[in-house]
Amino acid sequence: MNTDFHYYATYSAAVFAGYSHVEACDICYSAQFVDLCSKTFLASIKGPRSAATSQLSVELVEQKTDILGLQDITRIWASFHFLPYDLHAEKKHCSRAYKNKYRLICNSNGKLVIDTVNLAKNKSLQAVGIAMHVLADTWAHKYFAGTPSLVINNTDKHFYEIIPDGDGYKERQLKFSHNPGAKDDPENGIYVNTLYQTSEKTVMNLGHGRAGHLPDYSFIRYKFLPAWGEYREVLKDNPSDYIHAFAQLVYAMQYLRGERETFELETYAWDTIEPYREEIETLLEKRQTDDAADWKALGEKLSGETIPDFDIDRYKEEYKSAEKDQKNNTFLGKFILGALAQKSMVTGKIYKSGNPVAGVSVDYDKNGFAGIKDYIKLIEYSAEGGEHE
Amino acid sequence: MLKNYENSLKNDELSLKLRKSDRTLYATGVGCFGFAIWSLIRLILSVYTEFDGLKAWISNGLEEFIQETAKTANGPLEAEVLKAIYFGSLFVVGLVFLTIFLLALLFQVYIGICACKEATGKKKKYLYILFAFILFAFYSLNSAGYAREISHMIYGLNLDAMGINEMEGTAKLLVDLMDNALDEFASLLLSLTSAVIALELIVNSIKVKVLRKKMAGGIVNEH
Repeated sequence: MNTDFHYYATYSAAVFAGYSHVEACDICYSAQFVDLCSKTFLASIKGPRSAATSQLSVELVEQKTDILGLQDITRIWASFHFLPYDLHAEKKHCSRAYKNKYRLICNSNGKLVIDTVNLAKNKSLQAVGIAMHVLADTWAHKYFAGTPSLVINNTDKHFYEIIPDGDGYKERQLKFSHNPGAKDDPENGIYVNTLYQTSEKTVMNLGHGRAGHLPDYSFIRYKFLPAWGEYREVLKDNPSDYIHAFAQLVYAMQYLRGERETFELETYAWDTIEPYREEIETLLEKRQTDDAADWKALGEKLSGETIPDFDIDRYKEEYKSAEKDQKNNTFLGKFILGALAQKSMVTGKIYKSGNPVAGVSVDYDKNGFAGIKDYIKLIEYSAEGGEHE
Repeated sequence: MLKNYENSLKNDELSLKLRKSDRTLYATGVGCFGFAIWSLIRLILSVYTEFDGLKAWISNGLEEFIQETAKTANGPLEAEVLKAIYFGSLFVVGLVFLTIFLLALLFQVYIGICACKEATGKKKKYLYILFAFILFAFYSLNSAGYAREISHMIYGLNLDAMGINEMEGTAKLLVDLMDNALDEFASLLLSLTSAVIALELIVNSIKVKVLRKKMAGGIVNEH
C-alpha cells in the first residue's frame, strides 16, 4: 500500500477506533514510516541499522543476493510487508527449497497477524503503527512473498483487469513496461513493473515487483497467473480487500485500546464504520493512483483536526540530540524498538517452523546471547526493565 | 463483490493443461529460435577467431592444388589460371555451404516462430511439426555421433593409461585427448539439448492442438 492508505487511512481508522487526534497522528506516522525506515535513514541518525523496516531502490540495487544477503532481505520484507500466511503450508512434488519460499506467501488473516497485533498490545503508539502497517499490507500484498523468488513471485502476460460493465464485468489485458521513470496509465491499462530476469534470486523478483504497483491501487480488480499457482487464475479484488483491511484496522486498534477483549481473525468493525462505509467504498473505487487527498479529507472530517503532511525528518533531531540513555524514549527510539520486536518475532517464527530463509533465530532466554548483533538493542532494553519481548 | 466473476475463472483441468502446454510450446519455440541464432553467432565467431588459420588453410590448399595439378596435368598450366580455378571452386563450395547453412537456420527459425504463434493462439500450423521431427532426428543422430567419438576417446585414454610408463609424449597425448573429449562433450550436450527441445516442441504442439479441439468441442473436465 501507499502513503494514502498507510498514513491517511490509518489515521482515519485510528480515529474510528477511538484514538485522539494526537495519538492517531503518532500511529499513522509510524505506519507510514515503516515504508521509509531504511538503513540509509538509520545511518543518518546513527541509529541501529538492524531496525530497518524497508529498503530503498538504491539499497536493493547494491544488495548482495548470497545466502546472508537473501536472509537480510527476507527478514525485512517478510516481517513488515509480506507477512507469511501459513508457515506450515504443504505442497506436493516440490523441493525443500521451493517449499521454504512457498511458505512465505502473504495472505490476510494468517496466524502471524494475531501475533503481530498482540505484540503491540500495551506497547507504544509506534508499535501500534507498525502493526497496522503490517496488517494492512497482508491485504494488499496477497499472493506474493517477501523473498526474491522467480518461481513464487513471477507473473506473465496473462494479466487482465476486470472492469465493471453494467451488471457484469469486462476484461482488459494489461500491458507492462519496464521504464522505472514512466508513470502508470490506468486509462490505457499500461503499468510499470520490474524487468523479467531468469535468475531465481534477483531482487527484481522480490515481492510484487513483477506486478508493478497494481496491488497498491485500491480501485483495481484483476486476475493473473502467479508463478506458484500451477497455472490457476487468481482473482484480486482490491476495493473489497481494502475495505476489509480498513475495517480490520479499526477492529485491531479497538482491541489494542482495550475496547475489545480479544483479537480474532476474520473479524471486522463493520458496525463502527457503517455510517461512512459507502463513502469509503466510493473513495476506494475511484480510478486514481493516489487517494491521499480523499483519505485526508475523510480523516479531517472525522476528527475535526488538520492532519499534518508526512515529513520523514520530523523526529530526526529529537533522536539525534537525545542523550544515549534517553534515545529509547524518543519517537524514533520507540519506533526502533517496535520494529526490532516485530522483526524478531517474525524471524523467530519462520526459523522455528524449520525454514532457514530468513536466517537463524536464537532464543536468548534459553540459549543466551549467540553473537547476532541485530537484537542487542532489545536485550539491553529488556535488561533495563523495558517491556519488549 | 466479484463472487459471480470468481465462478467464471478458467481453472478447470482442461484450461490448466492447455496453459501449461502453451507455455512449454512457447518456451521450446524460443529455444529453437535461440539455437538458430546461436549457430549463426558460432559461425561468425569461428570465422573471426580462426581467420588466420583459415587464411593459412586456403593458401596451403592452393599450393597443394598447384602441386597436384602439376603432377597430373598433360602440360604446364599458368599459375594465374590455377589460382582462378582454385578460388572459383572454393567460392562455389563456400556458397553452397553458406546456402545450406542459411537454409538450416531458416528451417529452425521457421519452426521456432510457428511454435510461438501456435502457443499464443495466433495461427494454426502443421508443417512445422514435421520439420521439428526432422530436426529431432538430426540432433539425435548427431548426439549419437558425438557419444561414439567420446567413447572412442575414453577407450583410447584407457589404453594409453595402461602403457603410460612405456610411451613417449604420453602426457601430451593425454592432454590432447582430454581437450578433444571436452570439446566433443560440449558439442554432445548442445546436440542433446537441441534434440530434447525439438521433442518437447513436438509433444506440446500436438497436446495444444488436441486440447484446443476438446475445448472447442465443449469437453470440460470438472476438478
